Amino acid sequence: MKRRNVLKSLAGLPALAALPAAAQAPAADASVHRTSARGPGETPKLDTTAADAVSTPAAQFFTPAQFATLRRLAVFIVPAANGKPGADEAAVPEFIDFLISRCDNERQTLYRNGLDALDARSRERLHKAFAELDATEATPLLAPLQDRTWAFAGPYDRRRVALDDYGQFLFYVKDDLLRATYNSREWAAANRTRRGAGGIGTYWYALK
Amino acid sequence: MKQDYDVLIIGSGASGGMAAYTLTKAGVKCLMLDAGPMLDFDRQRALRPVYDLPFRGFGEPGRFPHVTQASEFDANLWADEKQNPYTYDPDDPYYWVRIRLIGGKTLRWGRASWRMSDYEFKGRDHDGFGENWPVSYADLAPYYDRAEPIMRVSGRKEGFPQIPDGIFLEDNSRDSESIARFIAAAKRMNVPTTKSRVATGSLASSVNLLLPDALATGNLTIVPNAVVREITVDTNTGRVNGVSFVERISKRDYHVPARVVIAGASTLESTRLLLNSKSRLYPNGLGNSSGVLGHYLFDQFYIKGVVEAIVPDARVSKAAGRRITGGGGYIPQFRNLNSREKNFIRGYAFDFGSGGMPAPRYLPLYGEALQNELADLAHASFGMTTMGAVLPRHENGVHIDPDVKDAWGIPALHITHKYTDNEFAMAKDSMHMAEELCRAAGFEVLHKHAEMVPPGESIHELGCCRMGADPKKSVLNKFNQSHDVKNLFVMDGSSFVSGGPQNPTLTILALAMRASEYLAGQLKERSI
Repeated sequence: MKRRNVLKSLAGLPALAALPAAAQAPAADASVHRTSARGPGETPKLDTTAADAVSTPAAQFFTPAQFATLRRLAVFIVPAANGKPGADEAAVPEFIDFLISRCDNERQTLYRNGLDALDARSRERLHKAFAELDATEATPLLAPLQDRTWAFAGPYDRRRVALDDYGQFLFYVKDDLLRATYNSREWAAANRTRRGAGGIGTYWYALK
Repeated sequence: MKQDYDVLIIGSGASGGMAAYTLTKAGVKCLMLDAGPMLDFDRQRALRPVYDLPFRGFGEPGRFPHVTQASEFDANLWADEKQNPYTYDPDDPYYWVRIRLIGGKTLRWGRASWRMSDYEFKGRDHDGFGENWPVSYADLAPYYDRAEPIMRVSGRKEGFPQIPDGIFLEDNSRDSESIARFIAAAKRMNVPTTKSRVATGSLASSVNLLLPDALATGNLTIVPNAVVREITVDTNTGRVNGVSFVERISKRDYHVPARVVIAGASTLESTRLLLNSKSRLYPNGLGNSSGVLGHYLFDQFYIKGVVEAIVPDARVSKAAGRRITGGGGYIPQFRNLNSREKNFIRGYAFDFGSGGMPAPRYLPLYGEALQNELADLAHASFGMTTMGAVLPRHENGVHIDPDVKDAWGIPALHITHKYTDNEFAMAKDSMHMAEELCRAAGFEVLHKHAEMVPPGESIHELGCCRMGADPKKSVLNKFNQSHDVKNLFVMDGSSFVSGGPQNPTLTILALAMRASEYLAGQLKERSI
């Protein structure tokens, strides 16, 4: 589903321009921008909207097969549920594609190999692409996520970890998919009164 | 004519800021140089939602390979790794975390403010390892007394000798039910607990608590964007006579004369500066006749989330609306105080805290099952972090890397820091103890581990320019004054001889105040 359609269909969601995108609360009445509303010396503060509120760039890093696997994985790991958007609705597969494209070789290799392995195992055992599986069929392939609680703290720990690359990939991608969903504007819009969204923070501009 | 200064202070953080605070109030005219700019709190920050950030809060990958603390929100505050390179053996990574702004790391510190004790100052007397400090707790107590109110430290008095009580904003807040349960379990196991001791206030920094009062005296001049290259020496007298610095943006070179120089640039930067201030008189670095400069680097090791647990009756489905979690506390060192452990000397402390939901990575679930479980555990999380003392060893330290220079042409550091058996044994012990405590409190342990963060990540690097009574085994005397060069002082964490699990900043503040008062006295008597 294209993002803009999804946004319109989420119940009770205000129009795009009204999502808080700047330090101050957006004007309830857009006519505040009219010149006659300002004094002679005042400089205007214009409402703007971030790029990814108006467009979702296509995936550019993973191959179409890898991306299809990633999208299916995103639906399994973070499905839409209980009135909240899932990873797919929050354009998370596209975001992960962008994020991994900027990561170091080690992370890129882990993801590519992981996605390839998921698809290979799916074809080997079920004679279907991973992107064509349903949740029940996928369960045995995602077994490492249910077999143990392996928690990593950072790159330093990877060297000491006992899990193989397949398991490591699943744990990283689960964490990344969840976090990217919680930090999305779709999640924030659906969670106006509840904790769980990435939230609003103090951002420091680049210092000269 | 440019003004004459009595004292030149390098660095505007905890040590530089406290030196300026103390000296200016004693009538001493100070010039302060800092490598970074002054933050404009009004214009350089804004509230933004995470989804508006280009990397959705993940941060730009690879921008800070060694700063796990940087978030996408505050990334621009941390010192750029490309402009400020350093090297290490790839098998032994070191995470050097820096802030190059007026206020230094006090802009982001965790505020934990614990007094060190004679278990640390007289560590050699206690267990035979290493060296004693040339000061005792009694020497420092009057300065802790004055530093704590300045930093508005809150805490609760306990009478524990390993973390002496201070002058606190009394914290008598009630513990939540689950925390009370944990504390009772610890008590049954003879493990001490207390409230956290933290510098309070929305900003607890040199910038709002030290520098304004110093400026108000009229005796302080602050120059930002001054990257100090070298402390220069009068070859006739062997005394320092000023510093050479580079203006950060234009890269123009300057020299400023001074009668006394205080290095407060942070542990490794001050050490680097002294090593780079070589001359015919000091071929191994300024004030390094002992050969000890650059050696005996240590920090605290951290095990983040040594145990992650849940409070079973805090589940939404069981709690019937009651909130039984929230808040936390601290377990001070309890090992090797009155008894001897088999596998390690010295000890560790814990932070513990409750409330919120556990991170999804700790649950063996995904999909809707995970979401439902997380919702049920929304307030049920309990976690602990280990902070362990690291033994100072001669072979851990820094030297100048002849092949690498920073963006201003100043030679960079090569850092060597390996943890050893004592640290690993302590780490394991802390994991077992944390698990035992959680089980005794009736919590369900989700995960435990004994993996330390890399050396340096604690941001508590100390040593390399240690004080001591013997000039053959130390760089500084008990007043942070160079044995070799009487008008040179080093007041930051590089002066530490050893450490406990306590966060070092409060001790750095106390040492800097004490050393500055001594210096002021010496200047008055014209003894320097």
